[in-house]
Amino acid sequence: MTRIGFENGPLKLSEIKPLGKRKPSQDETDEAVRAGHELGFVPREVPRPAAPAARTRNRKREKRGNLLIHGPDRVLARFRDFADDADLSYWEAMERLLDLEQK
Amino acid sequence: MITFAFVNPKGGTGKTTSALLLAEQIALADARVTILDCDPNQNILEWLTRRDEDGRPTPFKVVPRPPEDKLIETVDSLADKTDYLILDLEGTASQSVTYALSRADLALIPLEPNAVEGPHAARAVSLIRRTGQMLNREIPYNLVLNRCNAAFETSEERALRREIQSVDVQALPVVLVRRAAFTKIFGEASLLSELQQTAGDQRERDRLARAIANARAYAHSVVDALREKAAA
Repeated sequence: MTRIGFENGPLKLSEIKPLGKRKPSQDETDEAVRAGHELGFVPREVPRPAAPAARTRNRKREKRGNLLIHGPDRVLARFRDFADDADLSYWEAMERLLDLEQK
Repeated sequence: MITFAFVNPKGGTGKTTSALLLAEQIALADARVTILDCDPNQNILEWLTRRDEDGRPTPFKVVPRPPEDKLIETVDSLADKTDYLILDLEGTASQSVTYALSRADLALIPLEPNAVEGPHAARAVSLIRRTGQMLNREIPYNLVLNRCNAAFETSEERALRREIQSVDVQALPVVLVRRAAFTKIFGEASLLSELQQTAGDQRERDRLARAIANARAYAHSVVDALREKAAA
């Protein structure tokens, strides 16, 4: 096999097995979470409205498209942070900002 | 159930792409595969929704992101329903990553070999090692070099490999190359294997064949990595 690979045979999944990991206790998990906090891996979720308007629409029926955006990193980073903080997909975040603009 | 966790606190490093490519390759080997889409953007769930709308079957399941405090419970509930669970985690330093690692057989850290992404991958490695210490078990992990040059190993890739060797971190020997097909699977909500049906001229078919060979080799290297960790 090379760096980009030429292996074409089927995967030999029978050769791998779970590593026999035992389920950690609640105390061990809590310790791991606390250690994660020290490394900056912190809770992300904030209370949200039970049924935000954007989520109630029937998403399946809408025709979908793609949009590739080039722009300054600082603006794109703000947009990503906004979407992440509000727990929205990018298109949902865009729709929310557009709705705000039109209010 | 074997659980693979794709981890990197930086967004845009290729977690979702490498998770989707691995899921397809394992499913092609007739195994039951589930992706737990833990990314707030739910890109894989959206991908699946578009396929469902078009009536295209998908050879693996996709489960939407559970609340952070339900992640472990959700993972455990899938144990009897799937053989291989792939966790596509969010690209932030989130507590859910720690929860996911507590159940991972192998953590995979995708990154593009450049100076920007190295420190973020190093954060992921620190979390994996620390979580393993707290849980009294080693959590195996490998870096996955992503969006690499197909023709040759760039100086940045060589430098990264030297650096990670010096700190006793391993990367998969096979890299994922920057390929249009790996982007197209999202644009067209396709599996990599389905792109063969729409490939135009011979050049496009040849490029696609190389992308498929790369994805297969990558999946082989993931399986090899897990086998080696189990034997160690």
